[in-house]
Amino acid sequence: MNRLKSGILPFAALVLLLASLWLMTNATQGSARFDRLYSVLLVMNLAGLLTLAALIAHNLFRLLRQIRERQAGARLTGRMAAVFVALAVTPVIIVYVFSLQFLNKGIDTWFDVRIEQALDDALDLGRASLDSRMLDLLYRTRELGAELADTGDADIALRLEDQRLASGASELALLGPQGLVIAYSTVEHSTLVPDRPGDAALRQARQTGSYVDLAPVGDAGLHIRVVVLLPDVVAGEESRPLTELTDEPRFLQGLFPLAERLGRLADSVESAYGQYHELVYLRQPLKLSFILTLSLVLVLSLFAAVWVALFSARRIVAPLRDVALGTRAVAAGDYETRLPPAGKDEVGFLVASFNEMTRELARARDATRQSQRQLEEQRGYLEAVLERLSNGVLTLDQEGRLHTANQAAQQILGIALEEHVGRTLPEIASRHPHLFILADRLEPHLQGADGLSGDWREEVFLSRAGGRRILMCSGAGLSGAEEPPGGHVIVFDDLTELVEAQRKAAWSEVARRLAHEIKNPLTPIQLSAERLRKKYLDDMAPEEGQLLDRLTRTIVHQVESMKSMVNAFSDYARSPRARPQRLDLNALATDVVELYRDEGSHTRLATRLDPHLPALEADIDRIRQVLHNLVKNALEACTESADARVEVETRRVERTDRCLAELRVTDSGPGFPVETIDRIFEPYTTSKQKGTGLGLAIVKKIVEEHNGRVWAENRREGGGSVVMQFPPPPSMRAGPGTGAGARREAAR
Amino acid sequence: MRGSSRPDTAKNATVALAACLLFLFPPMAWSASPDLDFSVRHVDVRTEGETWLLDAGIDLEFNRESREAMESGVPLTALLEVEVVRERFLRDESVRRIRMPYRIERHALSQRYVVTYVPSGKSRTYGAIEDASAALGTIRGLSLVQRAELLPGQLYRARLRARLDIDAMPSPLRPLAWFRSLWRLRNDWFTWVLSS
Repeated sequence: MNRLKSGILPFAALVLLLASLWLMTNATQGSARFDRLYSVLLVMNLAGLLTLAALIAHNLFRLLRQIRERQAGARLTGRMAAVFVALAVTPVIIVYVFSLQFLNKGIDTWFDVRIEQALDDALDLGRASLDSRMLDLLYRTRELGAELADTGDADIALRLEDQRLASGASELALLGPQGLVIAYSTVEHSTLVPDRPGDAALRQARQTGSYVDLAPVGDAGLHIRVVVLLPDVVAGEESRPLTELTDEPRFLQGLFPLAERLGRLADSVESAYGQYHELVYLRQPLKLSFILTLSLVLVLSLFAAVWVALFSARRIVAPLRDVALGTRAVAAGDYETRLPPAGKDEVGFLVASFNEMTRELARARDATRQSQRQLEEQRGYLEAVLERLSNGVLTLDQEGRLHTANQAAQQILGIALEEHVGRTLPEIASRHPHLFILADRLEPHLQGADGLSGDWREEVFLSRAGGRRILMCSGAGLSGAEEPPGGHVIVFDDLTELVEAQRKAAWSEVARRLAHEIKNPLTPIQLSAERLRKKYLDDMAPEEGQLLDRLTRTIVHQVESMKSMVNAFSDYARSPRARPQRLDLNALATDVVELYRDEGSHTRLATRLDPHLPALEADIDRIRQVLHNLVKNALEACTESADARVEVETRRVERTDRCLAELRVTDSGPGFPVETIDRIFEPYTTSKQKGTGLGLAIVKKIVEEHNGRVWAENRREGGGSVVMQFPPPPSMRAGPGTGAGARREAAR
Repeated sequence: MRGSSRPDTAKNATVALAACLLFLFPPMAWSASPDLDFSVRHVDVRTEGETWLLDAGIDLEFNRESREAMESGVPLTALLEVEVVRERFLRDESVRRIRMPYRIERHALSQRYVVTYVPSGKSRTYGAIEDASAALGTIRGLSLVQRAELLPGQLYRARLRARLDIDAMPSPLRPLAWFRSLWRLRNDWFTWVLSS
């Protein structure tokens, strides 16, 4: 349809215009068939030209707008159209100019003074010849008139008939004073009324007695008309019926046809003279008319040339424009672009090649997408696997920069590793000092020859907030074919829990065996010592008795001490069933602290309690034991401190997914030995002279039974802290809870 | 009987055509509206039996250009038009339309003017153009309309005009005639009410 609109319809309109111009040209040249249509054709052509002009203006405007908007192919279309127009217009203009000259000169050559003179002479000759004939006929008519004067009215019609036949007239008529017909005779019997002379003829005949002229009579050709005034008649004659007209003049009119040859010659002269003079008169209008037609043809040719140029240029450029647009689309990533076929020429070949190229590109893109999708799936699968691994996995590029890390690695190392992608391990360690030892231990493997291909294993102890971690690291070099090329993968397991569990199990076994193996003989020992004392004390000498009493008392006392120690081991080894209940940690801390408040002591006991502490579900007796152990330890730790101070602090700790209750017992003592701070919660790791060495171990055990975690840390300003964090009960983990009571702070 | 002039309805078409020509040929100047060369001198309507008859006198004054053309052998056609219309709200209805084209030409050999009624081909000759135009401008007993053709209670108007028929001119002369007002010899419609 667009093709029809853009091509066939304007072409058909053009053909119609040309046909119309041809008809108009025929009309200009005097064709009778088209003469009446001349005006219509002219208007039609003008309207058609105006329409064509409007069409061209519209096309030009659109082209200019496209050029301004820098649309693809617009400039090329403009250039091609300009070239086509120049090629077409130049010869047309030249032909037009020369045609105008030929036209002017050609029309002028039609006219010649000699021909005009000859025609004038011929006309004069004709007139002279006719004048002679007219004079003869005047005399003859006068004679007929004289004859009629002697004729009575009754015979006058017959007389006229005789006279007409005798004189060769085609018509004889006797007329009254006003030209009224009295009688007549004519060769045309079908004629009812004779051809009357005009008033001027009668007037002249009345005044001069006669009138002669030459005039064409209907289709009968040239006739000589003679009107003569009849001589006066005598009144009172019986034969005259028209007595009332006797005083009135009467006229005899005779119409005489020219002799056939003479008439033909006269007609010929008349026709030639008339046509020539008409042509002379119409010379300028004729030129104007021809110029108008020629100009219309020129304008039509120009318009048609411009339109065809625009149309052709657009048709030729259209495939190239499509290719340009298609190229842009391909550059923008649209490989589905297909151009319409553009014939079998070179442009068509170009379009076909473009389509083939985009097909290949689309195919390659689909294949790439498929591969990428598979890769993404594999990557997703690997990531899912890695995320679900409890092992930490790090991948490093060839230069040792962090590439990927799974969630377990972040949890184990205690930092957000995604923030450090692209950094080397030493750079990360510089921001997180607890990782220095890790970087230090792994660096040789990453830089060494075994880092490229060989596997390695390394145990690393990591000190971080929350306690020491034991990591078993293993690594291997990555293949160079992958992206990024080369690099390392490091997998590490957090063995802390496992080692601690093993150690705890071992200690529990030791405690159980100690309790079993030692406690059993203690009672017989104690009983035996008491029996010795009872049996022999009274019988012995006072000095010996005193010795026995002191020895047996020592035995009993030491046995009691050993029992206490064994009971402590037993407690450690024993895991009584927990009885969790809602616990107000702040209230419990206050109670325990109050028990240790002693007016005479130089140690200041203080509490710093967070009223927004989340509630806990815990075994209150065991948590109380924890608090007792820690406060007691703290008081013992700062006995030698001048400004002894023990502080029990609770705090609400917000995490992204939950909030924790933190309990911190701080003292101003010497702090924990740095070399044992990581193992301070292991049994028999103590810096005190006395004590079982199980207090902190029991604390850790109870805290872990409540899913909490505990660690020790030395304060920068001096002293140490034991920190515990308890999770909220499962029913409250959805959101942060609020602690009961107002913040209480006391310092004494 | 009363008479009045109405605007020439053909004027619009002429102006449109002239505008087209001016677009293509700007050097050709458009002249102002011409003076009227033809005029209706008198109109007389009478009845004879059931027929309305028209007697009229029109002054057909041929100007120098037209006379020169005739002297040069160019035939001109004077068109007399009579129309009876029934007046209606939007557009009048034509009841009867009579066109009487007369060709006037100069016969060089006889030096007379030949006036031919084009439909019948009947012609008369006159020695002077004044005689010819006087004869042309005289209408006697022209059957205008039958009484039975007129509906009772309706208003009818008759109108008369004479003009030089440009379309009957030789085609080379027509563009010139369109351009130059001197060639537009005519009178506006002379209108009167037909009343019994």
